[in-house]
Amino acid sequence: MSPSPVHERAAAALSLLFPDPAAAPPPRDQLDEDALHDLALDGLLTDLAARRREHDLTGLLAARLTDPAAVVHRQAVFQDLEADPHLLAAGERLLEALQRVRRLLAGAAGRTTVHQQRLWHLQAARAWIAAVGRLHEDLAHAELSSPGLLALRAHLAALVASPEHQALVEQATATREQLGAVRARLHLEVNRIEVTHDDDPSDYADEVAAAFARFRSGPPTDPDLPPRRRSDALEHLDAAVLDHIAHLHPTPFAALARFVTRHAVFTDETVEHAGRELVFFLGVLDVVGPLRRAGLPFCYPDVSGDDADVEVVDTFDLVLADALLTRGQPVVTNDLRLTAEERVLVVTGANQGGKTTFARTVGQVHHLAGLGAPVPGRRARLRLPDRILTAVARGERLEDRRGRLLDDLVRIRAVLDAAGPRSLVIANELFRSTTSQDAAVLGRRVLDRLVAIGASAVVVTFLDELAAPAPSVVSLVATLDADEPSRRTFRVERRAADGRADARAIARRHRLTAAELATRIPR
Amino acid sequence: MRAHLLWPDRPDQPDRPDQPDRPTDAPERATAALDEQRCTDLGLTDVVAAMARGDRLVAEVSTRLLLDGVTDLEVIAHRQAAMREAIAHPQMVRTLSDLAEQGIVLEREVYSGLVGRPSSLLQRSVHVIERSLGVLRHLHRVADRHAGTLHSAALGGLLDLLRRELADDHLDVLAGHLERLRLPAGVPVGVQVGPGGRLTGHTLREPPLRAPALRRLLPGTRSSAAVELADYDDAGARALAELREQALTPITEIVAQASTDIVALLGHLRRELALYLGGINLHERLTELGLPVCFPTPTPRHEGALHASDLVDVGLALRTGGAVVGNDLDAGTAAMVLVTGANQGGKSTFLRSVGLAQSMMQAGLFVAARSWRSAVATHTFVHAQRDEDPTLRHGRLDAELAELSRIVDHLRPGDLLLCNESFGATNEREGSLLAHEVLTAIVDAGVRVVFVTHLSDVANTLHREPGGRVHTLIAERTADGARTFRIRPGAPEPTAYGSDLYVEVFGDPGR
Repeated sequence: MSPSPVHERAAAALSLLFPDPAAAPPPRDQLDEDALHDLALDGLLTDLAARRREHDLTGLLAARLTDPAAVVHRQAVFQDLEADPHLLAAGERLLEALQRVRRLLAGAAGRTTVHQQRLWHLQAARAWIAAVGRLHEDLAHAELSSPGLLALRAHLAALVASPEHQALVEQATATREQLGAVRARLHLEVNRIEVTHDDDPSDYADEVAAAFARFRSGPPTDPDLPPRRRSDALEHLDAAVLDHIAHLHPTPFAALARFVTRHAVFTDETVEHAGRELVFFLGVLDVVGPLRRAGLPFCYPDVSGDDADVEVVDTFDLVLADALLTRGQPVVTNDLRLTAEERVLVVTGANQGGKTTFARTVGQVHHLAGLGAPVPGRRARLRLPDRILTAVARGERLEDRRGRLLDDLVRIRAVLDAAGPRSLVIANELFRSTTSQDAAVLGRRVLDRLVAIGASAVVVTFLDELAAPAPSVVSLVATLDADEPSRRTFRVERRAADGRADARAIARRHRLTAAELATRIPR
Repeated sequence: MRAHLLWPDRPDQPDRPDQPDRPTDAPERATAALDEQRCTDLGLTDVVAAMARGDRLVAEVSTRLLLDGVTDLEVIAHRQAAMREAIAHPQMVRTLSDLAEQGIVLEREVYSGLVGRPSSLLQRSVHVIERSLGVLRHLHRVADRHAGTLHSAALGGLLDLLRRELADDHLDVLAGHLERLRLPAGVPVGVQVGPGGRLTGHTLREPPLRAPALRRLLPGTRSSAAVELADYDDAGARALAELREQALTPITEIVAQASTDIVALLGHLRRELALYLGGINLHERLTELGLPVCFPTPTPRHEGALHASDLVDVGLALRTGGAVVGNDLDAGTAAMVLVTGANQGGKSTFLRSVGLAQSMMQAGLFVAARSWRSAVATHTFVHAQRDEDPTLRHGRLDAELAELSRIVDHLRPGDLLLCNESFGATNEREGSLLAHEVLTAIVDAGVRVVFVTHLSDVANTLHREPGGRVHTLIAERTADGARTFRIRPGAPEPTAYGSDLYVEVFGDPGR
C-alpha cells in the first residue's frame, strides 16, 4: 500500500528541450571538465547545481547543441519565459509543487500506521491537484509562442478536462472535508491520553485572555518561548491517537480508505517530465536574470547561417561580470566581429588588459548559444561550431621546463587532431614555459596549422610577432586606459600589434612622458 | 486600565504608552547635551535631589518632566490640582507608590534565570500573578479607604479606577483561573485531524480541578478510548510531554503576557506617582527651610507676561540649607529682561531663579516664591559662560559662539532663552556689538530673552530701546558699595564695580 512516484505510464508527449520528443536527441557537443574550467563555466555549474539541488543540471549545461533548429526550439522557450515574469514564477511554483508531491508520496510510504499513510497519500494527491490547476491557469493566461510551451498548455487543458482528473479532484475535496470536520478531545494525564468526542467549541485560552485583558496596555511583548520542534516520538504518539480518533469517527476514515484505493496513482508523466526539463531553463535564467536586471545586455543569437559573418556587440565574460557587480565595479563590454573569411583572432597587448577574459568570453558566448540560452551582448550572429576545443596553459607546477613544454605540445596536438573547419579553438598563452624564441617558432607552427585546418580560433599570446597579418588572421590588442592605467578597461581593439600598449601606460604612471619631463626638469 | 496622573484623560490626545512621561506637545528638538547643560546651569539637579531623596525613579521622572516643560495650560492645571491633594495626603500617595514598588520587586524575585519550557513558564507566571493579586487587593483597600476624599481628575480619578478595576469579584475570577491553571488534574485539549495525519488545532479546554474519576468508573455513557504508555516507554513519555507543551503554548503566552501586563501596570502607576512623591518631598523640605511656596499662574505663550514676588533660587537655598534673598519682578510683556550691575551682585542667582521657576511651573510643580506668573515657553534654553581660562581668549569666544549656535539650531519663536554673561569671552566693545546684533535678532524672531551681563555698552544701548521692549534690572548695592544681592528695576550703570571686588579680595584698592 505504498504507491511509488515512478509509474508505468505513457512516455512524455512533449519536450521543452528538444524539437521532437519521440526522436533520438539531436547531435550535441559535450564539453569536458577541462574545457569547462578553461571557459570558467565550471564554477557557474557548481553554483547552479547547489541552487537547484534537486536536479542534476551539469550534464545538460555541458552539452551544446550543434543543430540550429534544436537551438531555436529552446530559444523560443527561453524567450517566452523571459518575456513574462508571471510565467517564470509559474515555473518556479510548478517545480516546488512537484517536489512537494514527491516528498509527500515518499513520506506516505514511510508512515507506520495505515491511517497516516492514507492521509499522506491524500495530501500528496491534493498537492498534485493544486499544482496542475495552478499551472493550467498560469499557462492559460500567458502569451506563448514557443512550440514547447504551447504543447504543454494544450496537454494541461486536456488533462484538466479529463473525467479521471475531475473525479480525482471531487473525491479528494470531499474526503478532506469529511476529515476536516472530525473533532476529538484528548485528556493528557501522566502516561495516559484519554480520547473522547469533543463538542466543546470554547477556547479556554481566550477566556483567560479576556479575564486578564483589563491589565493590557501597549503592544504585546514577545514571551521568548523556544521554537517548537516535533520529535519522531510525537509523530508516533499522534499516530496512536489517530487510530483511536478513526475508531470514534469511522465514516470519514472509510471514505479515506476508498480514496486511496481508487487513486493509488494520480500523477501524469508528461507534466512531471516538463517539470524536470523546466529546471534547465530556470537554472540558466538564475544566472542571466540578475545580470540583466543590473543593466547588462543579453540577446538571442541568430544561429541560422553557417558561413555568414560573426558578430557579437557589447559582449562580456558572464562569470567576471557577476563578480564585478558584486563588488560594485563597472563591467566593460567588447565586440567580436569576423567576416566569413576571417577565422583566427590573435589577441596581444597589455597584461591585465583583458586578453584572457576576451578569449573566455568568445568561448562562453558560443557555448551558451549552443545551449539555446540568451548570450551576453546587445545583438549576436554566430556559427554553431561542431566542437569547442580549449588549450590553455595550466597553472605553474613543480615540473621541469621540458616536462611542461611537452605537456603543452601534447595538449595542442590533441586539439589540432580533433579540430575541423567547423570547430572553435581557444588557445591561451601556450608555450609560456619555454624561451620566447622557442615559443615564437612553435606558436607560428600551431597558427599555420590552424589556418590550414580552417578552424575558427582565438589565440592569446604575449608574442607580437604571431599577430603578423594574414588574410584569415585578425589582430586584436588589449588596451589599458591611457589616463588612468590602474583602472583596467578590458577593452580589446582591432588593430595591429605594436608592442607598446604596456610601456606608454607605465611611463605615464611614473610621469615620464615627454611633456611632463619638460616641466619637471627645471631650466 | 491606565492612571491619568500626568496627562488628562482626553480622547483626542491619547497617552503614548511607549513614553508615558513625555508630553504630547513636548519640544523634541533639544538635544541631550543641551538638556544636561541646563540641569547644571540652573541647579535643577539640586531640586531633583530634594524631590527624589535617593529614589532613582523619582529622580529620573522628575528630571524628564522638569526638562520637557508642558505648554498646555490644561495639563498644568491637571497636575497642580493633583499636587495640591498629594501635599494634603502625603501618606496615601506614599502607600500607593510603595505597593506598586512591591509588585515590581516581586516580579524580579520570581523571574530569574532563563525561560524554559512553556509549562514551567506557565507555572512561574501563575505564581507571579497569584502574588501580585495580593498587591492589587491591597491597592483596592487603600483606594476604598480614601473614597470620596479626593476630587482632582488625576488622584480622584485614580482612586475611582482602582476601586472599579480591582474590585474583589474581578480578582476572585482571576484567582479561579489561576487555580485551574495549576493543572491539578491533567490537560484537556481539543484536536482536529490535520493534513498528513498530524493532529492540529490544539485548543485548551477548561482544565478540571479534580480528576474525572467518576467518568472512568461509569463507562458506556460516551465512547472513549485511551492510549496507555508502558512504564518503561521513555520515548512515549517524552512525546506526551511534548504534546502537553504544544497544547499549553498559547495559554502560556497569554498568562506570561498577563503577568508582564500587571507588573507593567504597577510600574506605570509608580512612574505616574513619581512626580507627586517628589513634590511632597520637596514641599516638606522647602517648608522646613521656611521658603515661600506658591502654585504659579501660567499664561498663554502669546501674552508674554513675567511677574514674580519674593522669588527665590530654590537650588541655592537647598544647597546652602539657609535663607536666601528673594526678588520681585514685574517685566510686564517685555520681550527682553536685561539684568546688569555689579559682579557677584546676585545676577546669576536671579537668572537661575527665573529659569527654575519657569521649569517647575511647566512641570506642574509649585515654585519658591510668594507669587509667580509667567507665559509658558515652548522650550527653555540656557547659555552660560563656562570656560574660565582667560589665556585662550580667541578659543573661548569660538567655543562660546559655537555653543550659542548649537542653541540657535534649536530655537523657535515662543522659547525662553536665558543668557548668563554671554559674549563675555571677548573685550567689552566687541562683546557689546556682537551681543546687540545677535540678541536683537533673536528677540525679533519671537524668543523671550533674559540677559544677564556686565557689558555696560550693550546694556545701555538695549536699555534705550523704545516701547518697553526691554525691562532693565540692576543688581543693587548700597552707597558704601556693599551688595544686597537684590535685583531691582533701574538703569544700567557705566561700571561693574570690579574695583570693589578687588578691594574685598585684596584688602586694599591697589594702584
